[in-house]
Amino acid sequence: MKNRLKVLRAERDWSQGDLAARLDVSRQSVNAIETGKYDPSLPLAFRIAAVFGLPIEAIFSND
Amino acid sequence: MVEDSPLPPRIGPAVVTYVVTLFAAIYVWGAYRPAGLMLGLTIGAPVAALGWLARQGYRRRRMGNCDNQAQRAYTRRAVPLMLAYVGALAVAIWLHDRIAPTGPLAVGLAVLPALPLIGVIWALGRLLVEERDEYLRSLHVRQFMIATGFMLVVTCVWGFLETFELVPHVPMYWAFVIWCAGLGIGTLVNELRA
Repeated sequence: MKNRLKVLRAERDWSQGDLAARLDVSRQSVNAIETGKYDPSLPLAFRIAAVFGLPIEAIFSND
Repeated sequence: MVEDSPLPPRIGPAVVTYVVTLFAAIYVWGAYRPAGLMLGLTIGAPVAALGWLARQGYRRRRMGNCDNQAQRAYTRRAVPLMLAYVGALAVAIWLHDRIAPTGPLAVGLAVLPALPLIGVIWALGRLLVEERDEYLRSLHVRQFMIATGFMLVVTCVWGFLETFELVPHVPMYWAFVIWCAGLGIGTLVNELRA
């Protein structure tokens, strides 16, 4: 899966650590998701969507 | 924006490099008594590896994955249990030599050192249950699966070599030691894939 986490973070001027704190996960997790090495579970994907105020499909795409 | 470090820390490769270069240096020193540039390389390699290890440790702290409740709880449980294991083993050997017990007492005494190790297995299970970060939990699961596979391969091969009288008998508790060595391989694989 591809994702737009890095762009969305940059737009908000958040570091990986900032996003990790908002999601209550480790910075290592944010890094792994952002680089496409780990696909988050559905509950975590919903949390990510809520943090950015966007629908899941605006953040993750299946290609 | 705070600078991100795109690469995760590589503790496993750094530990392996340090151990390999250290043992290589000990071997080279014993076998060749090097001088000059060779002596510099022999000493320099493990020192450089230690420096790399320290740097990876610093990056790991920066990544913030040390401040983790589940991992802290595991350490809080595992360290006293490992100390209890050393104590129980010493007590079991000492009593066995002194009073040469028989019957149920002998069985109880023999099983005594295994009890803290069972505790460590329980603590490892709790780590999986209590880890709230799903990515870190997936890393633990992969590490445990690699350790289990490694233990099964080693014990299987050793068992047949033993059956055909090609290697000496090894007590079964070594399975746990081999599994722990497999955890090291699992850490290495996790970090190489990260």
